Amino acid sequence: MLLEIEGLTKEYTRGGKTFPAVERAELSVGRGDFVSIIGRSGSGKSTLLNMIAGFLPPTSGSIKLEGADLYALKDKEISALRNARLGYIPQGAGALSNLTVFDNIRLPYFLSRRQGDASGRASFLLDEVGISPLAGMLPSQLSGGELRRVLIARALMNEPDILIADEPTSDLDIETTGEIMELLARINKNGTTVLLVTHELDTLKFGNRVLTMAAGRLTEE
Amino acid sequence: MDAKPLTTVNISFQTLRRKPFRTTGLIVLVALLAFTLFGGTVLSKSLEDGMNSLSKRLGADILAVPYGYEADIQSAMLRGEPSTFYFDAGVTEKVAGVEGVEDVSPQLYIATLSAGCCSYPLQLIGFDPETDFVIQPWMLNALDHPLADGEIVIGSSISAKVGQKLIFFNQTFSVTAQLDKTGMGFDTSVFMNLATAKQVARESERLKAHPVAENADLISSVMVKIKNGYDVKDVANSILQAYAKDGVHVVVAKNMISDISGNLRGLTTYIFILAGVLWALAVGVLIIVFSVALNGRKREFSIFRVLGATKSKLVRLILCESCLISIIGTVAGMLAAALVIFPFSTYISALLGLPYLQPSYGTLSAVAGLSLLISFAVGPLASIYAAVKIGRSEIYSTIKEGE
Repeated sequence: MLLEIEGLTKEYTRGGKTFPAVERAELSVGRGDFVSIIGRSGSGKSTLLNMIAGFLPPTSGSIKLEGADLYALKDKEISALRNARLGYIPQGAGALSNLTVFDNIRLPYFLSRRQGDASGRASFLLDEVGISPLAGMLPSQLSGGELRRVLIARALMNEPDILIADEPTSDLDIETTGEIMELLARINKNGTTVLLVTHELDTLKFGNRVLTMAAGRLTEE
Repeated sequence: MDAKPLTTVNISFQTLRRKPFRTTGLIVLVALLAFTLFGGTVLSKSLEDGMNSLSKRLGADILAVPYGYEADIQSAMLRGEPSTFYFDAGVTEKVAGVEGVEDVSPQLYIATLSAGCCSYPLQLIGFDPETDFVIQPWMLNALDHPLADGEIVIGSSISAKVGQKLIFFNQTFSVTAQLDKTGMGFDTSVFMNLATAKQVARESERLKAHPVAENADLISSVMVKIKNGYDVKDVANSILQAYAKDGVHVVVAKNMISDISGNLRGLTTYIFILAGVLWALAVGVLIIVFSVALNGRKREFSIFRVLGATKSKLVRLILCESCLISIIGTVAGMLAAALVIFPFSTYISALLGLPYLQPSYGTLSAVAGLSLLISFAVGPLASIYAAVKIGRSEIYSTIKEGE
């Protein structure tokens, strides 16, 4: 298994009361899977995704990426893991406004020591996601769909084992949503595991597994 | 496509470039601090050196001058301001006879309107080479013969060389020696023996009436050196008691120097207070700007973390931005100060009316190094708190706060 989640719980305290945002979630993701997690707003799906991506420590339970427990790692180790093995596509505008599209895509390569042709890989990805002519532009000059393609290309820069996408089609029109989902499906077909959360039913047909998140509980259909 | 590696410096530089208004404002603030710190320190050090040089090498303990011209002798000595005041040459012998006086030497001041060498009026000073103990110790090269008629010694700021001819009042003079830099009015003065000075005065009659041309028995001041064991105040009082009725007044060199030193201390204190206030202001403004800016950039920093940047990488990114601001501001401010202080040192000296002697290159380098260090420290000091705070925050909370 590429990703194994066991008894994952995240509790918050609000107004002196403790409540679970995610409760004893169990999930196994194999290489090449395309997993979609659907749920209403506030169901806990983004909290789950942020724990899986290594951003939010769980209250209890474990997340293992090929046997390595994410939250047993030190900051330097988990940062290196995020950089090399997890590709994350954040919700909304997740590009750095001060860097060009090209540099936004190249950036993950330079956040850890590695050897290779960063510019060549970035150019390839620009072409792959269909935004080569936009390489020199700033994120503020792009449309929502173009920006989402930049984020996808950036997430793929270091050839991750798994691509994690937090509502990658939110705020997009139907046509652009279809294009982005087709792009993710193509990436999955090329061998990259995809895990996404969404609240749009139309996107579910692109994945091969669908899970539902409701009131912090994760169930597979 | 620009394929430069995205190093910490490169990313920080691009961030600053995309915020030109904020970046320029912060750079100007640091530059202002560096300008005050470096320029002010060089200025006060130059004045201090000028004072030290003056007190070390003035030679005379008392200056006897005509009554009412005490301020004029200071202007002539400190700033080389052309002065014309005279009393009878017999004062020299009278003062020499006062108890406690070891040596006396007369001086005669004649002002020019212009000269071929210089674009500003000069002070010509006639002195007696036989008795002089004030001018000759400053000479760069010792004379191999007594200063003859028609020969002159020039101050260090006068653009002429030994052997060159200079013309004053249609008379040609031969430069036989040049003085070391004194930081005083001597730098812009020309020295000659008394006979030559009187000849110049007679020549100047063609343009304007001159008292020395009418009466060759006039001098401007008497330099007095006292014997060991005598109190300078007592000797000065003795001179006054004996000859005040003849229009003789005295200036005690030590008092003149301590007055100037007092002014100088005030100026130096003011410069350092200003630099201190600017430093605190720069640090304060930068702390606020960085805290506000970094709070507004939480989403940006969370993206770095999402992409695999370590906490220390975030701290390095923020510190690098502030260091770039600091270094650019510091270099710009110090360059601007150097461009003002060095080429215009003569003008600044004249403006302040204080002896000015530029420190050695070693001292200048030390001042530059220290100013660079203090000014440069502003940025990192101001941003370290915000940097560590951002570095310590959890990614998820930073994402949420940044949304």
